[in-house]
Parts: sequence; structure tokens; C-alpha cells
Amino acid sequence: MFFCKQVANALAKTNYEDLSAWRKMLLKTHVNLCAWCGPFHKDVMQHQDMARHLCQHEEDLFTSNETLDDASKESMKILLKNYDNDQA
Amino acid sequence: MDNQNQTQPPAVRPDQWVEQFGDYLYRYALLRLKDPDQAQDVVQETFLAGIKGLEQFSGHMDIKYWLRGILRHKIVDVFRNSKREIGVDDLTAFEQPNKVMMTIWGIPTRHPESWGFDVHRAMTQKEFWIGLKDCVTNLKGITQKAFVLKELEDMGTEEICKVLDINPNYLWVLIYRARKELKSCLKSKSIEPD
Repeated sequence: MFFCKQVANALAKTNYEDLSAWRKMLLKTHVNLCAWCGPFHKDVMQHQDMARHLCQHEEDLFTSNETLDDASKESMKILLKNYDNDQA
Repeated sequence: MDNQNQTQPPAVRPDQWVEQFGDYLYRYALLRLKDPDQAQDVVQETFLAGIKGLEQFSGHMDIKYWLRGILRHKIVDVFRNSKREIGVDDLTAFEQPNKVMMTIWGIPTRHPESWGFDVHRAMTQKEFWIGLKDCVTNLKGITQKAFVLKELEDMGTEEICKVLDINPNYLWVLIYRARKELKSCLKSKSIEPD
């Protein structure tokens, strides 16, 4: 990854953490040294870090009101039971 | 179901799924679809598909994540089946990337807007993540769908373009816009590390 455009294409296609160790090292080196595309691509990588962490920790961020209500759960249970009986 | 209950470990019993995984799957769907009714529908469809395909469950993973895998397909189906939502602002009001910069260097600007706070320090705070989750939920229309598929579902460019019926360049613009909106939203929340 010697050119800014190559870095841009790599970051557009995938999260930089998913690159091979070698490609990730080349990409990081370019981004750290390049005065032209470095600031923009650092920004992209920060966004990718945030999205990745959000996925990993989203279970910890749910609030108590984000739940199925009891009536919905009951109707789902009945539907599943009926469906399962029909299949049997 | 009785026969299944006798032969399967408790976690694989479909009669327990609603209580055990209902809320988890609902929250997962809600963050991505935003609509509580749609989220409820896809969870229900997931359970039905789970019962139907239970024989294919190999047991190599937690049933919760197996069900989540089905749910992800259901969410993508919702996006695929929804009409392409292009509002007036979608193609006109948004600042278009600098074409010369894009063509030669693949970047729209050399100077991205500042965060206004220390991002890496902020990322150690739970408040930051709660704020980010809110901001993701605030994304709208096809921008939100593109962001969810690309960043949360980790789908490839080609597949996303097929699902949303858009071209790769437009997808790039949508992700760029989503990031700008998220940054603006996070700044407006004044999330500052202690």
C-alpha cells in the first residue's frame, strides 16, 4: 500500500482490523506518515474502531425498556407451539 | 415439541426460546431496523425459521448465536424488500465529495472535521457508547441502512449494493455521510471524558 488510493480502496472495502497483519502494517505506516491522506484515513479508522466496538459491546448498552412486552411474548409462544404441533 | 424436549439439551428447546432469547434478539433487531413492530416481526420469523431448520443446527455454537444468524438474514430481507428511500436531500443537499481529490487520491478532503474531544479517551467511557448507539439510531433512510449493513453487519460492498440496489460509489457517499452525521451527533451530545 504505497499510494493513497490503495489505502482508500482497502478502507472502503473492509475494516482495517480484518486485513492481514502485513497489509495492516503497510496501511498503518502509510496513514501515519502521509501528510496528504493521513488525517482523513485516521478519521475513517477511528470510525471503524467505533463501529467494531459497538458491535462487540452492544449487549451492555441495551436499556431495560428495550424488551418485548409480555403480550407479544405470549402470542409468540402460542404461535411457536401451534406451528410446532402442525409440523409434528 | 414434546419429542424434541426429550432428546435435546435444554438450551435447544424451542419452547424456551421466547423467554431465553426473545429480548436479546428483539434489541438486536431494534438497533438495526429502528421500528419496534418490524423488530418484533423479524424475531417471530426467526423463531419460526429456527424450528423449521433445527435439524440443521450442528451444536457447534451457542443456539443464541445460531438464532442471531437467522435474524441477520431476516433483517437483510427487510432492507431488500423495502423501497429505496431517496428523499429530496439525499442527492442534492448533501455536500458531494471533491471529485478531483476522490479520483486521484481516493479521499474527499485532506482536512476532516475535528472531533472536538479526545476520541480514544472517550471510547473508554460507557456514556460515549450509549451516545453512539443513540446516534446510530438517529441515522435515517438509506444512509442508516447502508451504515447498518456495512459497519454493523460487516457485509461486503458488492452484497450491500445488491441488497440496496445502489452502485459502489453511492454506497461510499452514504457511508461518508453516515460518519459525518455520527460525528456531528456525538459532538452535539458534548460527550467529554472525565
